[in-house]
Amino acid sequence: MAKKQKPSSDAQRNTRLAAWIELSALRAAEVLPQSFEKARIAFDDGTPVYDVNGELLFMRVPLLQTRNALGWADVAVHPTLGEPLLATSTGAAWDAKAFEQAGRKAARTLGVKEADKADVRFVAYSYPKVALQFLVGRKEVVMLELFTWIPVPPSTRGPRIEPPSNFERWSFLDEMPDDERATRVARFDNRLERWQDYFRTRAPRLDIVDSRLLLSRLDLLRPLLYASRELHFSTRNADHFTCYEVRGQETNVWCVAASVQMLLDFYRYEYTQVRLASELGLGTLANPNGLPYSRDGDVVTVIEKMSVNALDATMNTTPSFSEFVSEIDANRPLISFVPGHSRTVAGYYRSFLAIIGLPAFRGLLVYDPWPPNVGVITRWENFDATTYRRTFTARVHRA
Amino acid sequence: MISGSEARRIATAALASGAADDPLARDRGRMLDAIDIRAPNGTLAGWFVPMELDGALLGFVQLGADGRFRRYAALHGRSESTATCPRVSDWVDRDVITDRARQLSSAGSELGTPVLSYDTHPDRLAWTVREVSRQGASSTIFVAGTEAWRSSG
Repeated sequence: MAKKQKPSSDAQRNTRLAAWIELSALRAAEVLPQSFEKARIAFDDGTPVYDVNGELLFMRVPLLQTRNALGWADVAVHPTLGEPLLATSTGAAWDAKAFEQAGRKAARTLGVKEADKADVRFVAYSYPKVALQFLVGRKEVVMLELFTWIPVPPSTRGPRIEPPSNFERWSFLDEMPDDERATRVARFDNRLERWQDYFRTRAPRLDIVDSRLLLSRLDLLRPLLYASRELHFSTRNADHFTCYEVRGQETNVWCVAASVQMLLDFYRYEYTQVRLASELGLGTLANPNGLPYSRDGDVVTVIEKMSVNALDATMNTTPSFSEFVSEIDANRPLISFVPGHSRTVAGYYRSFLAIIGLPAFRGLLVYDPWPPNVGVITRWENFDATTYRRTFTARVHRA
Repeated sequence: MISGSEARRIATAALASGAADDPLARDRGRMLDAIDIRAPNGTLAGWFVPMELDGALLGFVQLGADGRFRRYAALHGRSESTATCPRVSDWVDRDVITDRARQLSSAGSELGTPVLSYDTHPDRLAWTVREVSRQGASSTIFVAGTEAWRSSG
């Protein structure tokens, strides 16, 4: 069961700051159209939306241009949501009073006696789906799904093993596994700290979407918005780049040979792909074969052999994004195996902003030897949409 | 699952947002119709949205079947020139692809309509052309740009 948390006024201010930054960034990226420039983020007119367990989850905040409603933004209050800006909706107005009136009318039609005198609050009964909960004292008399006004059945959930069905109420907070909750809270706090530090003495007006102000500070803000690096001449970022080339695989099954070639070329060990294929046991141009899974370790052996042991190579069977980051920061390319294919990685991109409810983007700069004899440079490969099987790294051997 | 027009919309957004990070394609490229990518069993496996400039294939956005952005792959490297790019017809013109497959096919065999698929992994995009020999034996020819080969399976 989640511990009940009350946001402090500092936390509330920081959440508003984060929401301002993220909405202004969406506007700067043209994800929100021009009509949203200088739109008012009506925090004070926000509607609290609660979890089924009674804790405040987020505020649904209207976005207004003069008196016109442009849409709304869902701004997190509870850190377990993981991101300050959860979602934006454009083209539809949020009018909590009108929805409450419509809900009471629907409740009267259903014969709910307390329809007019009950307290009403908005509840994420099956996050992100919202309903109106009618309370007399602290007792629920009915819960009606927003817009459809269909009564939401009481919970009958036993042990939380099965996922909830389509029209079943469940507690977003209580059903969150502890480890996931910890990850989300850490991410939320980290994001707020990042913005708070920067804007401590230079607070913008938090209630106005302002992409120009955001962009005018972009150079200073950039480290707060994203991190990116690709291979340079050295670890010094001022050195020239890019010192990496794509090699197309010379047969349809020599992706590993091409990948080893790209990595060795970077370290100035230049071999033909035919030679490297031979060293890897991949046959000839006329009669090629691929590397079987059982011989993945041969990549390490060949890298070390062909560099006369000047390179120490390592295979990692559980690749992670942080490994790609640390190797590229150290100016070292990686060979990356995905199921059935091999490529090399020469850079990364990590955005700290969520875009309309999706996690912040993590991308890899991939030098891919496919198509045969051509290859492509992929900028960017969505790390979260790909399965990674192995990575191979090489370090210059130090005596 | 998404439609081809939805795939184009997502690809456009990817170019604008920088997830598809290719200023040459964004500023001068022409987005062509999305082509569905089929898994070897025929199910929809994603979308291939090509970017063309002066008859050359600059690169492409690849999406999953659900529209999830998978990658943007550039064929012009870091150059502002299209000199090293394949011809776009090699990758989108089914007649050109069929002709390339025909060079590998047996005499008298019949070739089916090319289908964009992949060889082993979705990153290894290739057109597949079904060949039926005079004796009725069926096999697959892969075509990827100017390269063609027979399926080993």
